[in-house]
Order: sequence, then C-alpha cells, then structure tokens
Amino acid sequence: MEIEELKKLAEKVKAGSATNEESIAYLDTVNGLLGEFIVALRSMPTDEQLKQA
Amino acid sequence: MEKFNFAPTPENENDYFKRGEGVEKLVTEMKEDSARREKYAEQLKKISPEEGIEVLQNLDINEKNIEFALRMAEIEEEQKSRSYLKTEVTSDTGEVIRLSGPSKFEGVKKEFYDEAKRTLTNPSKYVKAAVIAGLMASGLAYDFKNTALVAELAGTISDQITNGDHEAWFKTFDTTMLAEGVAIVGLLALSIKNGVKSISQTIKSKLVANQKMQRYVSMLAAGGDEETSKSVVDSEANKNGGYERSADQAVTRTTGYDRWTERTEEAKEQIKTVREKLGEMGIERIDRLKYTDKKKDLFLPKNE
Repeated sequence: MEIEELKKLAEKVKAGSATNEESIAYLDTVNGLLGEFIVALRSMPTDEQLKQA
Repeated sequence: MEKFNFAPTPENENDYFKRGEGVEKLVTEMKEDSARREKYAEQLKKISPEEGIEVLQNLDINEKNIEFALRMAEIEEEQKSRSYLKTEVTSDTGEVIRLSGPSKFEGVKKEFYDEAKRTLTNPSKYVKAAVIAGLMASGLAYDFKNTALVAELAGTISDQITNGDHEAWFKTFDTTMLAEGVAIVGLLALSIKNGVKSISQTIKSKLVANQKMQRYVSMLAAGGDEETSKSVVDSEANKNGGYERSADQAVTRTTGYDRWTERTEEAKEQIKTVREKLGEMGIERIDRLKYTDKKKDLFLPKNE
C-alpha cells in the first residue's frame, strides 16, 4: 500500500466512511506495523540489562 | 399424576383473563413473526454473494480491533521494563513527576536521537514513508486507546516529515521524549531500521497467504462452529476462485489448507489468549448484537 493511499485511508477509517475492504486493509497494515514495532521494542535493552552492562 | 385445572375460579378469575390476553398477544406476535420469517426467507433467496461477504468482512473488522487491543497490551508490557525511554513518571497518586537531570541511561537515548536525526535529515523516500507509516500506526493505536496527546504528536510529526520541515521535526521530536512518546520513539527506531518497502511487502504477502485462514478464524472468534465456518469460507473461496491453490503450490506456499488442523488449533489458542487479555484490560468483547442487527437488516425487505 502506497503511503499516500494509507494516509487517505487513515482519514476515512477515522471518519467512519471507509468500506469494509478498506477498513480491513488498513487495520491489517496497522496491525502489521505494530507487530513489527513490538519486535523492535523487544530488541531494545531492558532496564535490567542496562544495569548489568 | 396430579391434574391441573386451568378453568377460572372466583379466586383467580382476574389472573386467568390477564393470562388470556397474554396468550392472544403471543399468538398475534407469533403470526407476525411467521409472516416476517416468510418475508426473510424470500429476501434470503435474493441476497447476493457480495452482501453475504460484507457481513463476513464486518466480523473481520471487529476481530482486527481485538488484535489491535492485544498488540497495545503487548507494547505496554514491553514498555514497563524499559523505563529509560521515559522522562516522566506517574506516582501512585496519579501525579505526573518530571524527572530532572541526566539519568544513567541518557547515553542510550542520545544515541538513538542522533541516529534518528542523521537518518531523517535527508531520508530516502522509503525511509520517509516508513517513518510516516509508523507514526500513523502509533497515532491510530493511541487514538484507539483515547490517548489524544500521543495521537496528536504522531500526526504533527508525520506532517512535518512529509513537508520536509526538519527544524520543526527536530523540535517536536525533543518534546516527544516523554513517557507517552515511547511508542513513537520505538516506531521511529523500527521504521528507520527497516524501511517501508520491506514492511509493506511482508504485510502484503502475509495478507494474501492468510486471507482464507483469517476469515475462518474471524468466524470462529465470532462464535461460529468449526464446520459451518469452514464450509462458509470454502464456499466463498470456490465462488471467488482466488484463495484456492493447487496441491503443488500449497507445498511451497503457506496458504489455503496447509497445516489446516494445526493452524486451527493455534488460532483457537490465540483467540483464547486474546479474550483473556481483553478481560484483564477491561475491554469489552465483540459487539455481536451489532452484527446480528447487521444481518437482520440484510434480510429485511429493502422497503422496510
């Protein structure tokens, strides 16, 4: 999904005017990003690891 | 066996006639229901596959929101063990306390900050797009959690990067190093690292590969039994012809029926986990009534 398309979809989803297909595509994309974000967060050191370093 | 006498007596005469009225009302309602059911049955024959699919997709959307909530819960869990990303803490009484002076983890923050600035001073279009997408995800996620401040910050930074306004972006970035901004910081780190191309490619391939399974899982999560859910998904897949893959392709691509049984079990476990997590978070379960109503509307004659 192109970034401009994603931005337009975000507005439509928030305004409640997106079609079902658009909503699903958008939520899938956001969920995917958040999933990747969790992976990135987990790769960052924890407080405990920093204390030991 | 004891026999009951339903005839009115002087003692229960009033009740009897009240019951009589109730029965009449019930009979009238049943007749109306019956007429309505006949209408529905007629209407049901006229429902297009597209309308049926629309109902299924509504279920999907609701299930996606639950996934969303679960992801946010996971993020919060990870944040708890990384307090160095915060410059504010909330006391037990709810008071926000600003942490003053450099902490021993300032180095970690500065390193990331410098890297972000370096990368974003002259970003490639993919990095730029990835950052914006990450910010939007963060903004939407926090909007979902009613944390307006973070959602607004995400939107602001997203616009500033889009417009190439580095000064404004740096300034806003400084202010996002707050407790609430940790999601934005993390998303930026991720976005810079990966670039949007790889993210969107991964998502696209996952979407295509799992479309059928996702629909099936959504139906299970919405309370459908396994057989019905599978047959509906199958029937839809056959109609559209888009989800099925040949046996040869199925060997090399994780799609369609590959590991169906295992994936079903995994999905059921995931649904269970999601529901438990939602319960812990105090988030309401699927609003089934809404979708029941949606179906009901679908079956009603158009002029009603």
